Amino acid sequence: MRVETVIIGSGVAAAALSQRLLELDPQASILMLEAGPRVKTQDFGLWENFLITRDTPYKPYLDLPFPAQDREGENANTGIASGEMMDARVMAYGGSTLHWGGWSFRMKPEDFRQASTSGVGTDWPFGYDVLEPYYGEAEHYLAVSGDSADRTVPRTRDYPFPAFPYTLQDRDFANAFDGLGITHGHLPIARRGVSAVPSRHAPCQTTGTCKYCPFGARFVAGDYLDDFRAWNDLPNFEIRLGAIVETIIASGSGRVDGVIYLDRDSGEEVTVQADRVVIAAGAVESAKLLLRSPAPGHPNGMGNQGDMVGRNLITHPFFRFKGKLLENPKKLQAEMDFPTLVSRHFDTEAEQAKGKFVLVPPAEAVKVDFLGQMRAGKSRSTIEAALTGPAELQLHGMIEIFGRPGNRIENLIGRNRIGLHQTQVSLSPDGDHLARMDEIRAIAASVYVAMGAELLGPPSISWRIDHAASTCRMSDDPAQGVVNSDLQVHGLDNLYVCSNAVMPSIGAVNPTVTLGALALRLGDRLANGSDRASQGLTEQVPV
Amino acid sequence: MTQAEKAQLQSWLQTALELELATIPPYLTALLSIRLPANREAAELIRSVMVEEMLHVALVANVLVAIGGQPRFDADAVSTYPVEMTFEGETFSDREFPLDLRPFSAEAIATFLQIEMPQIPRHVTEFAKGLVVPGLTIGEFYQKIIDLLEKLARENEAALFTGDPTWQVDASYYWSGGGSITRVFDLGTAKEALQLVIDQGEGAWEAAAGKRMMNADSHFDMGHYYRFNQIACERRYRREDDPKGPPTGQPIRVNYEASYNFRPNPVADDYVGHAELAALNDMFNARYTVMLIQLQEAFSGTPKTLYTAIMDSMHELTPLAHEMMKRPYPGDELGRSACPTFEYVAFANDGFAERLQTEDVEKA
Amino acid sequence: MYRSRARHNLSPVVPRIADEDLQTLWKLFVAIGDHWEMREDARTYRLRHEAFLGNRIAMNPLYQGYYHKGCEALRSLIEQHGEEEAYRLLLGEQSGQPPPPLDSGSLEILRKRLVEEFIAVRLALGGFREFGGINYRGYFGGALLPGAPAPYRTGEAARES
Repeated sequence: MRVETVIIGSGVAAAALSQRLLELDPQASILMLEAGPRVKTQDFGLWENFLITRDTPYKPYLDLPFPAQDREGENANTGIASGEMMDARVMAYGGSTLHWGGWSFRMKPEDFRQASTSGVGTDWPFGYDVLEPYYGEAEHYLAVSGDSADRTVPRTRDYPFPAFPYTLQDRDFANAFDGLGITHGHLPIARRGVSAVPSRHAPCQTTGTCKYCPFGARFVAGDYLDDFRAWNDLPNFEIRLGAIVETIIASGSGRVDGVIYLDRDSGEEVTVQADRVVIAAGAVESAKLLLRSPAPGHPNGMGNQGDMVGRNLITHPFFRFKGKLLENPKKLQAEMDFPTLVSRHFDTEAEQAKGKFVLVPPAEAVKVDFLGQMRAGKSRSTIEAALTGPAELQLHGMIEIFGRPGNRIENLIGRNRIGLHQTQVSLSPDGDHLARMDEIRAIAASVYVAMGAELLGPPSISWRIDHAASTCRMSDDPAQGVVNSDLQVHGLDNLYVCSNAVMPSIGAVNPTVTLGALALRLGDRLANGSDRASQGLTEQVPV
Repeated sequence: MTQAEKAQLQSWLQTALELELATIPPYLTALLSIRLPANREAAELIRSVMVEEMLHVALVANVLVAIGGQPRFDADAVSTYPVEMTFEGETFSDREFPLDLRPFSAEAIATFLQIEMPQIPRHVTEFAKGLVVPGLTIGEFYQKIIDLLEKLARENEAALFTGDPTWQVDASYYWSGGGSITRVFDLGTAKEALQLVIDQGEGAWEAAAGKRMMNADSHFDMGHYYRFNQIACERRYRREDDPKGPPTGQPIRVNYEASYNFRPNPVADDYVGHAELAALNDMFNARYTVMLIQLQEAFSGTPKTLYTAIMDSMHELTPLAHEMMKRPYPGDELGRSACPTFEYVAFANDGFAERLQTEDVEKA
Repeated sequence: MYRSRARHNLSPVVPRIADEDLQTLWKLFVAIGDHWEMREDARTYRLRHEAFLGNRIAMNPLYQGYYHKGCEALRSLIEQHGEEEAYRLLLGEQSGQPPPPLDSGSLEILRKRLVEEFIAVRLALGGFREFGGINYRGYFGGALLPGAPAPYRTGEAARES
């Protein structure tokens, strides 16, 4: 079969890109190939099951843990850091948006010039200003609730919905930050709100079960794809699930011809010819696919002439500082399932050389478990005494690390339970990482002291690769990167990568909104629509 | 104000509630009978109207609760089809036709146009010609309610609005279209609520020259009548169009053949002896009744039950209806298919309503 | 249009729970609220409790059996000890030994599939309010509406729109 565009993947990048292409031309011929299955979302029975068991319906489509002595697993890690893959991503229709928390930050202007400051890696081939209008569009597409008066980053467009006020729990952290002169603000979050613009998507009902939102108020790419298709006539748009792309095919002359995918149900290999191919399969699979796809002039995989594919893996180590609150007279407890407060005080140019970081009091900053105590048969008075007595506190955050060639993603022989090739991760911290964490620890300690609490021990640090990026990084110099500033793979006119994989740096914040912006920008370019903003069509389709 | 006057107002509001409720099954069955992806735009338009009717139910119920009344969603409030709407023994002059459960068809659209006919004659398609509009229209009926509200409020507003506002549903519960639910606690908010019901039915727009349509899908604020007229004329309105004239915008593809042709106004007795159909119909009606009970509960002090009604029950009805529409109607000489009967069932051995009442009696 | 509901292949479309069991399950639900001195009238939850039972069976057909076995076990416990003591034995701290006449198997079903789940439901429906919060993870707090107070404790006055 032959189509105009093949998009590999069905997550936020694929959804945003396909929607933009189809808005501009509803007749566009697009085939979307997703390796995983569909997970039933917004189902009340499954939601109740989640409430009772904390099991999500997409749990079967997470990576298994790495193999251990007494345990079969999947994938392998050869670095010093854990590089944990389990729960880092979801391999199903909608991709990792099925489980994401929805933190929706813009990077800061200096993040686009990170290499110039730190001396490691490469700068983005364009600046913040180029992406800025697309940031606004992405925030609208993802339905982000944020504080439009917050000028931590420059903006020319307001958020679609107002910020959620700080929780009572967060107020204590905010006051502590104030006392220490640590700036802070509302954490921009992808939860649809209520505005004058009517929408068929439900707003957040603060149900507090975000990992499986019964209302679909947290953006999930599969839901938006489903709705987009149900509400529009898109005769040449097809989505296939259980379609595991094995390789991109190219016969020569600087172009690719299409893809070969394995149909999971039938076991057959299917060839699809395409005018262009967009790989939107996440930082792990996108790199692995290129490595598996040699071509004339690309003996080590497409775009790999500079030996960059899969290398320079970065992510955000995620840290948790535990503290002890002597008493909890206000009965602080988690009333929500997403954080409302963030400090980007240390997410500045001055901190860039050492690795910027953000601080986030989590939704469950004060640990309280009524359910567990009641199930254990504790009496009412015991529970109440425990509530107002000493409590465990948490403060979370994440830190920027820099790309090194030795930190990489590769294909590993064997298939995982979804049918994808397994992955070998190699991730090791830089030598100065521990010293940096000590600095952060001192800051966390001072925050706790300001709250009348005390820090308990060193942080727990997770090197799970949720925010894996840079494995097909952007550079206009083919020796330094895999794709150019238009996301085209070097040396191939019609092959693109649209993924966190292309980002040379991700600063100290979640890359999702940046990815949405890149996807919408790519859509405009592919449709030759030039800059949409200049045509006055700034409104999204009301969905 | 006398108790009798207050009781009269409550009774009229209950009638208004039943009026709005009665339009939902006809819209829903027409909608469900559409075989997507054909008629997608028409389905969108019907759906948007139906969702707003649900809003109207909630608005009217809020007003009723606000004046200390209790909205009823019981067997008496629910219509069996075909139904003739009456008020004080007389049929509404603009509803001197029965409401049917009918598949998506030219006849169905013609009926929907009549249901939503505005007070001032607009563009009348060939389907709706010959309609006479004397006497009490739906609009006039709502005006009577508003007039009585105003009269009683003038006498003693505080004594009129005695209901608990937390028993009402607010904007949290409604997100699917234009307009919004507001809590009702005084004359101003009561009138706002009822005026929105009137406007959404028949509201037109000011023909605005030179404004470009966003895209084919955005339905700017136009009343239900005009949305149905777009289907009847198979064309969208443009902002430049005069509401008194026909639509001149983008064509809408309508194919009445691409719908399940079920036999209108099915009767449960006809399914007796056909095990599968009878079982499906029973299941549908059981779910439908549960949904109505949940609506009742939502306006009886636990508004959050509306979430369960919407998410749990509503989502069950669609696949059951489609299953029935794929099966032939027993003994139908025209070979049409079956359809749920939308009946309120009294639960026998495993029902909810009866036990709920028993429990109340025991505790009393 | 509307999405169809997920349901286990073997689960009945219309779950059937015997009247006697429904009564027992309801009384257990009420007893949980009473045991932890929850002041909200449990009757407001009756309908949702029954919907919950139906949904559990729809997710997993074994629940039809769990509910029946669990109810039999509970009734036998009540018969042996009287209502008050039976609930105290069941809901209070567990000694590890099943209280007579229960065996460990039926106690496990009763506690794991009935008691523990009903506790979670009761908390999420509104029982959490006993402990000072106005929202809870599992409760439909409602949307953040312009001009209205936030549906969770913020410690600040109502936001302007």
